Amino acid sequence: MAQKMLSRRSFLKAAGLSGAGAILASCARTATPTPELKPTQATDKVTVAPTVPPTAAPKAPDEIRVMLGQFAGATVTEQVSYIEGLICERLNIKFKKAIVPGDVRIEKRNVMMAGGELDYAFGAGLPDYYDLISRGQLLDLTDLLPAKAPNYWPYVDDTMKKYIAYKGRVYGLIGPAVPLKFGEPPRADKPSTWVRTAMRKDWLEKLGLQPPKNIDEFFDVAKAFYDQDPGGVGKDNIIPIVACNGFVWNNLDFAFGAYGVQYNTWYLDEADQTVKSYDVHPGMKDALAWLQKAYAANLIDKDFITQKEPQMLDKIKNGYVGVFSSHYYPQWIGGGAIFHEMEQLQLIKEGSLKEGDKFTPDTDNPPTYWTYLEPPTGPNGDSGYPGSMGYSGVWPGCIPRNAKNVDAVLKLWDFLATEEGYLLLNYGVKDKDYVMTEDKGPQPGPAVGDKDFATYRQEIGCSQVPQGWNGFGSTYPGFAQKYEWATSAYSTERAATKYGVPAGKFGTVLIYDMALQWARPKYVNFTGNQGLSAPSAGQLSARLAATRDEYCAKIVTGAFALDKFDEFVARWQADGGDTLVNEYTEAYKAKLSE
Amino acid sequence: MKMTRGERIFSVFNIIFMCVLNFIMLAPMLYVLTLSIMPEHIISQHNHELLLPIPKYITLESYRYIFAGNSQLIHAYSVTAFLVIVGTAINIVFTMLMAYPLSKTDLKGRTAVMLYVFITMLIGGGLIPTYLVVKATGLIDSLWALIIPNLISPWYMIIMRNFFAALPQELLEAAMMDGAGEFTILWRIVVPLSIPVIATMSLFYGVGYWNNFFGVLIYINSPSKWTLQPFLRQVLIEASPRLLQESGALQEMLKAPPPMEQVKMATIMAATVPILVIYPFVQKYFVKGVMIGSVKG
Repeated sequence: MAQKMLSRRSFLKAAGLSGAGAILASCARTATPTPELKPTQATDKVTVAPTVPPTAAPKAPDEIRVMLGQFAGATVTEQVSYIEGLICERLNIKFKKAIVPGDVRIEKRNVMMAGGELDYAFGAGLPDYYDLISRGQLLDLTDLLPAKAPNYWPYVDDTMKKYIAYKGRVYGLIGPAVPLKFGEPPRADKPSTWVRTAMRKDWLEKLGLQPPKNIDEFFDVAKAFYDQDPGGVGKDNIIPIVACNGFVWNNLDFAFGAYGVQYNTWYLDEADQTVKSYDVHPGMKDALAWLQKAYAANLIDKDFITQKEPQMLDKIKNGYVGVFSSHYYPQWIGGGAIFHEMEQLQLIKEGSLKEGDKFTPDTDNPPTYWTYLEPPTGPNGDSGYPGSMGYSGVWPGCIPRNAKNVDAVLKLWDFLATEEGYLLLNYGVKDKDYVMTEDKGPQPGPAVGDKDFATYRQEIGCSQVPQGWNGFGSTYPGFAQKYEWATSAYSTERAATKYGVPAGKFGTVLIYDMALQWARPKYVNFTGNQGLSAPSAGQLSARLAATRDEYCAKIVTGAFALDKFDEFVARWQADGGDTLVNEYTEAYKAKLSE
Repeated sequence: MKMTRGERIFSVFNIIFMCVLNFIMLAPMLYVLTLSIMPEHIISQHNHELLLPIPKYITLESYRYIFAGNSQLIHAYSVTAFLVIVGTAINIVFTMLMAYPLSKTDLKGRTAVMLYVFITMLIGGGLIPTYLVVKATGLIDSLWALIIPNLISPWYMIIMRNFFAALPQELLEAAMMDGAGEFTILWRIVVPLSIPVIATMSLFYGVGYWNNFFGVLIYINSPSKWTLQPFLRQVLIEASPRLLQESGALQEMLKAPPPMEQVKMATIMAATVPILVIYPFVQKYFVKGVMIGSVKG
């Protein structure tokens, strides 16, 4: 019995302690070496390029640990693309990828950086980038780049330094977001935009109206749409101007732009060198007055404050909407994805297309029912949309201070800054994937076969190293204008000639045209563009935005009289707006003094 | 027994109230189901306000799409199923192994161990230290990183310990007198008597794995190891049916997938229904197990 009791006690002790141990399992275990990464799954497309000889054969590849965000429209996988395989082979490197949903990439990045798990990271905009630097998390590249990336270093010119240098030191690399015109390099002193306004072409024609040029004509045309219902959709359904999510979805930017302001945007007052917000600018009151008048006349969607994007797009597809102004997303492809969806739905309603049948939109021509407008001008001649400057829209790439394989990252950066690297990244292997021509740049090679060149390049992973991310590829402005844009310009010109459509009025060309013509420097968010941060922004911004949204919504919908705007301004200033103005201005002055 | 007039009135109102409450609970589910099986143009015509399906328009195209051959959804299902089945089983075994000894009042050091367990309920390690520990143990990008660091939930362990402590000691002593060892007692006597608490804890652990989201984002680096929740969220946020098919299946993608709204709703149904179905089967244990855990100190 005593023996039994002893055994029982031993069991209980052992079990209890093992349980306690298990609770701390992760703490108590001795460190074990990180298991070697499983080889990434290579696609059957990966082959060794005969024209690209390997460098040091027996040496194990240098590993670059990167994190990739899974964003809309891009399916990032662990697979190694053909292009990635070629470049890894050429440089004797390999990627260890961590793939996360795009909208949580910052949290994951911070955790991985803290754990020393990244060799290459990104800053989510300039304020975040400066924040990482000020916390000492990034490697100072000022001395490393000239020594280890001599091909890249010349690109770090004064313009780029303006954005990425912190107290005179370089910690990251950035590239241009959008070229401003075909065949020309991007410029840091000119803004670009994705916002555009479209109006029902068939309605205008039916009513014998011309596209409006100014904000008053714009009102008159919208009112004619409502009064005369050219689409025959009925008074209950017709929506002359559609919008969603209140004011932040760019749907009403045309009206703000006409009155010299933009919603939720900071600017520099040149007169007193103070950083201010358009939200409390006198022009904002004028813009709200126009919107209030339009809303009262049933010209603006009654649901614009509460409805979400799907509901708004449904109304467009059903043919109820006269004016749609938006950022790029719903109008992404060629003449506009949503407009093509509308065409598809109209065909289904007419019975000439069955539900589920494949519909191939004509992306070479302007959309059937829509025409794009110049942004309407206001009483003082103002017009245009917000945008971003040539360099500000790109996240700086950087190397964490605790990165292990700095040389491998710099080797890759440097290689991609060479002509050989650029062509390999963007076109593949010469005389196989592309052939070089004197006048038209790179043209399809024998491997492309009957496929469209752009589709083929997308399939083999061009411009993305590692696969699924153009972080490295987009960093280099060096050769883009020489090859890429020349090729695009040629293709577009060819398409324009074929279809008899003026070049520059649809598809990709339109985006560049808009970028050049319709974005206004004064509407580029000054704080973001300059990388200014205010210590109180985190605490105050959300509250100030909520106050602004409430007042503006109530003024436009008529719940508040226009005079309430003055009350809003006073409240905004008292609730912390003035604090932010002071802090941003101080940050700007400090930056100037650097 | 005949009800009084007041009781009858109360019953009528009670039933009406419960029906309304039920409808409120079921309406979102019905809405999602309807959107998942109705063609887009019908939904669109009703301005997204269709609560019940119109039978003649019902289509299962979106379900066919998400469960197609190389569907990522099925892959996410299998990863989640592994975690729910294997993870829960391991959790239960380890929780029992710790709870059983600690239910013995004569165990030396019992108070100290309990205090130690209790402290972990009050003070967590924090995200970065925990990440560093998981990294140091080589578990990053391994599904075991979602199981081992959470092997025993202190709270569930205490509930189970209380349940074990409430079992009649005479039964255990009788077994001991008959020559049973501790393992035999645990396996042959305690476990059969503890089905309610084991079922309840299994449900808690299982639902925890089914809904695991943050842990996957932090510790898992490969989308091929994503569980259902991150995958579902990605489908909903990215609004892209492409995510449902393996990368590279370009030809599949070009076959005009069903409208995204339908696909999203079908994905929600597919991710929600399986775990809902489990509840009725463990309900009879569930109530008892929770009650015991909650009223015993």
